Amino acid sequence: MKDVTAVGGLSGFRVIIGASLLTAGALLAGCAGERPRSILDPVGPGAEQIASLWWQMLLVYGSIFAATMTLLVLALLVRRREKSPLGFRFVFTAGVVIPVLALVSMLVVALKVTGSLQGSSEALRLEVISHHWWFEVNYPDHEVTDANEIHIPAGRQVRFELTSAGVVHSFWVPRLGGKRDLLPEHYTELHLQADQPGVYHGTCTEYCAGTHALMGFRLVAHEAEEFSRWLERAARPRTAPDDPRLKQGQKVFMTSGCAGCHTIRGVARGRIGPDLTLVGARQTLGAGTLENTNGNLAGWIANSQEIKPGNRMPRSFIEPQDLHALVDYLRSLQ
Amino acid sequence: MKANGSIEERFTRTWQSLPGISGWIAEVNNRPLGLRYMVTALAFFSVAVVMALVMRIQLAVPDNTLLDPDTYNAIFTMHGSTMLYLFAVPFVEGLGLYLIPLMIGSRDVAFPRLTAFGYWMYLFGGLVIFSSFLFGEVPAAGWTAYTPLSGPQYSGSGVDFWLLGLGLVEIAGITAAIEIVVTILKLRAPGMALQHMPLFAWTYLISGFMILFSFPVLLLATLLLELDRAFSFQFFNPALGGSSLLWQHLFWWFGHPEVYIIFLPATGVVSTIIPVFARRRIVAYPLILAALLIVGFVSFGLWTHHMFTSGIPELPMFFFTAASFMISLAAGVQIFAWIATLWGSRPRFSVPMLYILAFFFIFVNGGLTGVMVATMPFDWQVHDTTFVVAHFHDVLIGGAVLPFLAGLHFWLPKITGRMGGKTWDRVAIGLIFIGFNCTFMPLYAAGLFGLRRRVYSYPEEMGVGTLNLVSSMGAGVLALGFAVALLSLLWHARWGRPAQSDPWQGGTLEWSVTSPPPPYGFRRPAVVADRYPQWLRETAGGPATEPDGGDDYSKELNRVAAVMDGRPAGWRATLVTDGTNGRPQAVQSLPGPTLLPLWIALVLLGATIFFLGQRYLAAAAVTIPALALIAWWATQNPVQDRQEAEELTARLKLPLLTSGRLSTGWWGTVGMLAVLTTVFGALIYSYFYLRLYSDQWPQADLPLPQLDFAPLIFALLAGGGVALAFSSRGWRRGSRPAVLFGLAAAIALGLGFIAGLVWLLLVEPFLPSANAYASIFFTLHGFVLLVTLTGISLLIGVLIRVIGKDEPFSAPRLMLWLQNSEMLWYFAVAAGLAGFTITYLVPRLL
Repeated sequence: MKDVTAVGGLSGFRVIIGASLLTAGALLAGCAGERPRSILDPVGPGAEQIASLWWQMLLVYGSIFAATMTLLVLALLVRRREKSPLGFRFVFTAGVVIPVLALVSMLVVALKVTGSLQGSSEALRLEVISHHWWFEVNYPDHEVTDANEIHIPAGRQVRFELTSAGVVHSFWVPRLGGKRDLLPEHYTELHLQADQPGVYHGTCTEYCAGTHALMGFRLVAHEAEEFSRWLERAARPRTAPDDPRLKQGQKVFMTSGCAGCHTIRGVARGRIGPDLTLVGARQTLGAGTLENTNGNLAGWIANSQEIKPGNRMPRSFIEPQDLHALVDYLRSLQ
Repeated sequence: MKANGSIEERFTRTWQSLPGISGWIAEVNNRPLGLRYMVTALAFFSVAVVMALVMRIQLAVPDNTLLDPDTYNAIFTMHGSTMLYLFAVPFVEGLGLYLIPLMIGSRDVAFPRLTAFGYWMYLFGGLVIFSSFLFGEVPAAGWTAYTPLSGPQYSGSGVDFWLLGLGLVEIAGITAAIEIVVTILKLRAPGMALQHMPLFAWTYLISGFMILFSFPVLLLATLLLELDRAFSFQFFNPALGGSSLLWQHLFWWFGHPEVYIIFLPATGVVSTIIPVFARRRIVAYPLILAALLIVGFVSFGLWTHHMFTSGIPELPMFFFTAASFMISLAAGVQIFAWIATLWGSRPRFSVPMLYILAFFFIFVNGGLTGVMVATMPFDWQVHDTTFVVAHFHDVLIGGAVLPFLAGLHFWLPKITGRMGGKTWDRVAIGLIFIGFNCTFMPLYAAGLFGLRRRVYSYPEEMGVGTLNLVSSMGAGVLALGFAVALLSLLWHARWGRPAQSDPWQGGTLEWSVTSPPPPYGFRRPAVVADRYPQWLRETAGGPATEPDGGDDYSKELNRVAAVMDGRPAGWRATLVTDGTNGRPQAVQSLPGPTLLPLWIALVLLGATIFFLGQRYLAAAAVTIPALALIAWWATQNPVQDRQEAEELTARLKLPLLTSGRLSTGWWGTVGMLAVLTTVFGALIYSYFYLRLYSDQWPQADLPLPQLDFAPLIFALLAGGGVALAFSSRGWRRGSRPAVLFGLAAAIALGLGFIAGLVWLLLVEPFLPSANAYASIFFTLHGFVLLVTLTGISLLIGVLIRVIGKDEPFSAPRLMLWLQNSEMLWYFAVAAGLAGFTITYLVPRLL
């Protein structure tokens, strides 16, 4: 029974190692470019700490990997001998002592990172309640309710108080920090901070069946003053529209069954779907699924099932002129 | 019993499988059944690989519309469930069932009928889960089925198929574990002390114990969820006092040990193969053994690292990071022991060895990313992203599937009598290695860039399209590699070059028998004195070996082995040895072919089908014949040829009919009690967990259970225990009336307890569906009820036996019956009293 010679088998092995390194190279090459959900592109202290932790771990564990593979290759290459020159001491040193040193130091680093991610009591409070495939957002001290878009001041820590109205979901803004689950039985907490103003992507990150893939949100960080202005504007009492077209749109809203599910402050109170008081100004529709444009909004109202199958909003049968008026009206809600 | 034919012919005929289809169905021998397990597992594996390919095609480009979300969700659920429940553990079990007896020198496993029963349960459970496709109700809650998503409000009947099919498969897993543990502890070759046991057997022993303490918790969790779904219990419904996190705790208590249950035997395969091709004994065996034991224990202390994002307080959770680091140390020690063994050995680069090299690269990668993922703050970012997906495929494919493929190729000659291939298998390894890395390395990066797992598609703007395309192409190559590897194995199993008994010069006992092995495995029990008995045999130049204990001891072992050569010829039996030092203690009878295990499995399948169809009374009714069959099974005595039995007893000076610690049946009962204790422990945990997170207890102002008659009723149960103790004492003194009285009194008191407990439950002013407190109250007592009923049934059987048969009191079978029924009864008493204390007394005291 002949086997491939040691040299033959080993050169094959080297080829394979080389091929895999090329693949790893492809991975590194993939690091460049604009990526709105990358945890390696942090914009907040939480994400920064964790990204830094990642690079340290990559260095330490990558070195251990390289060292282990080197030892393996050496083991196969060194000259033949009857008994192994390595025994208990080698195995203990390489397998226990050195890894313990590495692991304990990484443990200390990780503990420090965990400690630094603790929240402060000065944080701004926000409440987020997850529903099946959308996020309800409440600003408790200002009686503002929104959906699928969160506005915060940059440079200040925010404490998110999270719970779910149904199944377990998860709340995640990768560029700001780690995620936290939203549980139906009690509140959980997450502290995040954006260092710079900007728009950041967030997603549900615990499988919740159906269109879990299309359950996301935008987090908008403002300069401090701009945030106060936004909040004031959002909290102001709503008046009836003057423009006859918008009036027509509001009428369509009230008579087409929309008010049964959706709330518009001062106009309608529906408890099933997202609050639409601020829908006109949102960046996205359908919980981060579509860009908020007239066309998309009309399409969503006409038949959201085509866009986000299984979501709780049925298709509608509104006449085209009425639909246009409705869209204009909704886009005016800011 | 046949007088004609030589002893040798009779011996072979005793062990021969029966011909034809009925013979195939009635098979109880470990090797055909182990092979059956492996083939079925590989069939499920292939189906799951196809599902993975479909998923990867969908994910190859962003915003793909090939699959709609619901279809994708069902496919990833079935892919994960099939791989973990229907491939990985059953394959491990099949490999163990085939090889362990050969490696430790036994002719079969301890409970052959249980092996057959387990196989049917596995097959039926897998078919039940897949039958969901026929009804268009495929489960889509993930292989983890988090609540309340998997509960009655949010999931259709697909989850019921999943839960019930999984229950059958879990039972198979648990029975296989009891088999393997008892076989390894009691049926080893004479002289095979624990320190001479191959590492492969150690990994199975430890995995077996792990299964006993983890699988029952999943069994309980699936039962509780099914109670929620079918009968409106409220364990996992937060609106009525239940907890979604309770499911996660119960599930991951099982889920984490599960992956080490898969991984440890794979390391056993590596520890077996490397010494053979390096032509050396393994380095640092004691250190490896310590590492394996540490993995076994510590794996139960890690489960919360799957729940780092669930909002549990951070500092306690950090403990699980530390524990996870510790277990990675234990895994790492083995890597360096293997490297040390290989150092300067210039190994033969056979196909199994090349698989092992691929394993090193991929598994170490996966182990290190596992340490990363176990680091809590980092996990807060990568949890539920493809980073984790890449990690666990690294460790499962690299750490388990590759060693399994290596093992299949390595043991193919032994199993089929034919050598595996060389060229095509090397091609397969190359395809698998390149394909695997192309599939999963990009997913690490994609996860860091925010790509979530369990999503049917992703937007182009995320910038992970190229990574996914590479990954999907890699998946195609990987699947091709698996196909080539499996087809090559199949082809060579049929048309490969004929193999001798020891083509690799392996050191362990399986290489000492023919390829394929004869139906009895070992005609003459091997006497063992070393970890590599085959190598010692080769150098010593003969079958006689020198075990520990010097000359007389070795002579005695060889004398026993010589008497057992081809004996008993009239019935199946194997040597029982001491658990630590391998000293022969007895001869254990083993059953021959029978259809009974299939009947019982069919009855349970029938109950499952009725349950799925919501015919609950019919389902309950069907279990009665199942219990009757089990009772009948238990009344059967092993059939031994009287003349030969007397002759062997005289020559061996060892008992042929046993009870107590010498009997595998006793150990099997102990194993079953470990399982029941685990289930009950998990129930108690659930009770206190629900209480901890409730504002008031009982919830919703339900009244505390009344203390009026309850203490008296539970005293009846305790009284039953006293009566049994009295019966035992009477038996020891040889007083038949005392035994009869004690048994009858225990049965009467037990029946009184059952009636009283049912009354106590009926008298409560609430139903189990009221809230979580009500649900756990009824379930705790329901468990006690079922165990006590089983205990009473067994006692009735014993009573009938004592009255009916003219057995002397010292008859070992009678003793065994008494011992086993007593043990179960005492467990029932303990459980009942614990249940009473927890539900009636503790709420009043604390």
